[in-house]
Amino acid sequence: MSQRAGLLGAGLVLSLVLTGCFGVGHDGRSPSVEAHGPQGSVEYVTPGQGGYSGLVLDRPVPFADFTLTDQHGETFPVADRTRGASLTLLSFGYTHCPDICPGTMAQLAIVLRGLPPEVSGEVKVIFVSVDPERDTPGVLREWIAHFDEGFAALSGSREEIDAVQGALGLPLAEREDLGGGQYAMNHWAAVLAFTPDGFAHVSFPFGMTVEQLRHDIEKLVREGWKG
Amino acid sequence: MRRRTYRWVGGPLMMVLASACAKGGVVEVKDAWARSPTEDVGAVYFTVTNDGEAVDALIAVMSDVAERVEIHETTLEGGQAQMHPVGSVEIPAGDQMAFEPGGFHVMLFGLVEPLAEGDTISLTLSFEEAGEIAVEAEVRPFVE
Repeated sequence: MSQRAGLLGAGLVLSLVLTGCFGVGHDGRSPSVEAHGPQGSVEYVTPGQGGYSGLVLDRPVPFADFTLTDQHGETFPVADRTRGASLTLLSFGYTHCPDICPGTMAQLAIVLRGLPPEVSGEVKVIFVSVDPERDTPGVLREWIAHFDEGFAALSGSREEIDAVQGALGLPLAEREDLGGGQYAMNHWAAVLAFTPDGFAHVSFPFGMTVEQLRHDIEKLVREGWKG
Repeated sequence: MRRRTYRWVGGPLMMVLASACAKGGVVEVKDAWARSPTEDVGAVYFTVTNDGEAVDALIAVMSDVAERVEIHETTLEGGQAQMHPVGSVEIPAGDQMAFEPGGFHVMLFGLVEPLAEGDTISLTLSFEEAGEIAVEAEVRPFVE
């Protein structure tokens, strides 16, 4: 890392501390997570709370059951399908997303492949598309296969997707028109890690390294949440 | 004999000229790669080095592989990822700027043909001062 990047990183830590952005969410409901600067060139800053590299949420996110459609076109009741799993990793995004979404899913795939089966077998990964217009089950099936066919890639109507985000207290994804029929979806970009106690106490913002993710995922699977 | 000598000198000379053009003088583009999450969009990443004493700026990118080629920036605000086009990206003097996931990148909209992993695509980067620099980017898989 260059000296400049180091300074930038230090500046980011300082600005995070000064703005106290691990505290109150912008609408008073959302779990505030702002661990990353406006540029990807800044390395992820480890908060290190509770021995986690990810962010320990001031207000844990309660699990909300919902039912959407998976990449095979089958009904996917989330609580049923994750019952018994030690860890459920929930991620939001869209297939036309150039880097955050595929980057996150690629990292999770790499991490789970590298963990012993008794750990990786305890983890369910669920991707929820916030782009119902383009992300049909067929599109999602092809996309998720880039990473791991065992991951669930869910879609539903705009109303259903909004309801899921609302139930979890997340800000709703918004469409940003890019002209010429193209658009981006602005969306929640941190993975929520749900433990069997029914909460996500830890989230993984974009920018964490594979090593940091591996550490946190293994710790959560082996120990559960110890607040 | 004379002709042969000519060729012998001409080859390296052309190579030197070509590499000088590729560098665009003090601005250099390296480690270019791309990936394509769907059949119709792609993103290209690289690092721009500016060894000069004056600031330069990437002002446009051209390529035949897509209908639209734009400079974009991904930002993370309050946990929300956002992506929007930017007009230009400054490359400070004596510094480098990484175009990488989670930051600046080149968006390819409306791919003429889907990009396959292992493909190499050609782009032309246009800089305010350094002019045009040709770049080859390899299409990488998401999970290597």
